[in-house]
Amino acid sequence: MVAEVHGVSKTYRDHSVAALRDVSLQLDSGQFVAVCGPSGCGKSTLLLTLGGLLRPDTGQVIVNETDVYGLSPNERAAFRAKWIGFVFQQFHLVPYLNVLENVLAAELGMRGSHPTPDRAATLLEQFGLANRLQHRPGQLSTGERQRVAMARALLNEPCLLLADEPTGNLDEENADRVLDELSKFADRGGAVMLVTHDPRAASRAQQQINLLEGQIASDLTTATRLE
Amino acid sequence: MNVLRLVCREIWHRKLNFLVSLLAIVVLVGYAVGALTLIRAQRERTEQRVAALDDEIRKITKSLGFNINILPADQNLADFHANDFGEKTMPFEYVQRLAESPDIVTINHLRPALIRKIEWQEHQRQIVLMGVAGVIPWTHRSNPKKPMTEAVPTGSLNIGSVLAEQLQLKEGDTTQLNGLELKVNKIYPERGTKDDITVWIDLQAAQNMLELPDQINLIQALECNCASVDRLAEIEGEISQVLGSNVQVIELATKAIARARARVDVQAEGQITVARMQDRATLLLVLLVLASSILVGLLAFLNVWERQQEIGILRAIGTSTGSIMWMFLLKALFVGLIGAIIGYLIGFGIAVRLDGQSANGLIVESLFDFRMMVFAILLAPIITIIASWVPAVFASNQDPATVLSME
Repeated sequence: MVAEVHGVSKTYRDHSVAALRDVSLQLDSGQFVAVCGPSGCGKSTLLLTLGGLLRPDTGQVIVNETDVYGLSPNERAAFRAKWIGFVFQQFHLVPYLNVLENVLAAELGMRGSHPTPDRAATLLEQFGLANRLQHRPGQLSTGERQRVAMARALLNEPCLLLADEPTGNLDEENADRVLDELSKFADRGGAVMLVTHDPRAASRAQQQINLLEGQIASDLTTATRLE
Repeated sequence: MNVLRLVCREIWHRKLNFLVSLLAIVVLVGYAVGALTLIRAQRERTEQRVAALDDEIRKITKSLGFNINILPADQNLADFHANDFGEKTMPFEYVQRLAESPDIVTINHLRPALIRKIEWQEHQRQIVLMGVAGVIPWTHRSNPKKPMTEAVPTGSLNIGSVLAEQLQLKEGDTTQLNGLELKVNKIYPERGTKDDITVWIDLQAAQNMLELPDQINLIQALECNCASVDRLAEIEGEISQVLGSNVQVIELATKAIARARARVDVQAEGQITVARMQDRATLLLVLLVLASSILVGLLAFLNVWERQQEIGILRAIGTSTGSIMWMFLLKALFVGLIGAIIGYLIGFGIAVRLDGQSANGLIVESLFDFRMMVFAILLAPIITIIASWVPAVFASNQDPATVLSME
């Protein structure tokens, strides 16, 4: 088991409606799960909670056999650096760092041994960015930027990859490329949670969880969906 | 990738923010160093002027020999001033009492003298005869400066230049003075005073020649600290303690006194000027420290605000709060360090240029203060770090979930 969510609820102070209500789910090694649902149903809240970025009001989040919210803030940061990769719709690249440095920024939070620049360069080569290492994010296309963000998420070889609408700003070709990389990560034994509105992106996942008003409305495997 | 590289890249990316912060520190340090250097220059100039006056006083005093005259109590001062010497005499024993008294601490030389206008019979002309001896008070007998008194060796004479020239005497010649054979020991250069027609011989010889055994009519006293006008009353007090009312003390209204007063005035004026400069500089410096700190702090806040998304993602990918804080404090450290170095160079350079005398008189090295430089280079980063502390804490406490949900 890579990640487990037990009875998690979350209500934002400035909202009367609960973002998550008693949500439980499991992510196994090699599993690619898509979380779908209308805006405000709690998809991103679930992703941030699972990623150790948003403490739930109740419930427990276990990643790699560690109670994430049982750690101190700095321990949790180091834990995220080591075990969890993030990919966002807005890429969130550091504008003044070049492509290689943006990927290497992931080692800032690492304790102990750091990944080498060679690994970063290899990853970027895999993503078709070998000739873009010294370019700034502003000099890249949106598809290239998302691939840089993917490379950054994968640099520290996490066990869990959390992607929040990673194809939202991409054309079809680039979206496919990103979704291919997510699938490959799952194939290599990692667990992926993809939050998306896009049914085409969701169809690439082995399992689709539909959220409605902070609760799991349906949990469908690929086989179920095909039926 | 490390925080240092990240900070350097960010500084290069947001040059304006960095340059404005830097400018604030350059102005602060430049002003502080400039003002302190100018104050230092002013202080040094005052000290130089005081030292020059000291030197002048020393030279004048040396050429005049003595600045206190001790006369018998019954000597009419009008006669003394009219003739440059008095008719009344007093016992030589007074000198001995002064010399042996532990109360005499400000006088380092005593010169008893017996002065009379006489006729040099061999040359049939009027001269001033001065019998002199040098006596050192016991409190100053270990003073290496004591040879200032010029006692005339027994069997010889010293003579003024006009007299020597008229009588065609040279140093080493032997001559007769009213039957006494004496060797010319020294011819004084022309002074334009009665000294030019004076003959100095050993005191005892003069007493014998004038048939006034153990009598003197003047004690010239040289105080230790020639430049001190403040101690004249003290000297008089010391003398009266030993000799009571048997003598009167007069101060020679010499140029030395005027110079000494000028010295005190220059010193006081210099101190007032320096104090005034210090007061104004301190006030402006405090205001500048406040203004610079506020500006640096606001720019740091602006920087944090601009970088919220970046901070959010760095936090999300595991960067610790300490590293986020360090990113901002390291930048503040750079602003402080670089600003201090540039500010020091500019401030010092402007101060040297403004202080016109530096180019001519005071050398640049004398204005350079290593401690001030170290102080500026240490203090400026402390100010920038303190000013950036709150923004840095604010940045490190940013909730990545909130920041990443804002879009």
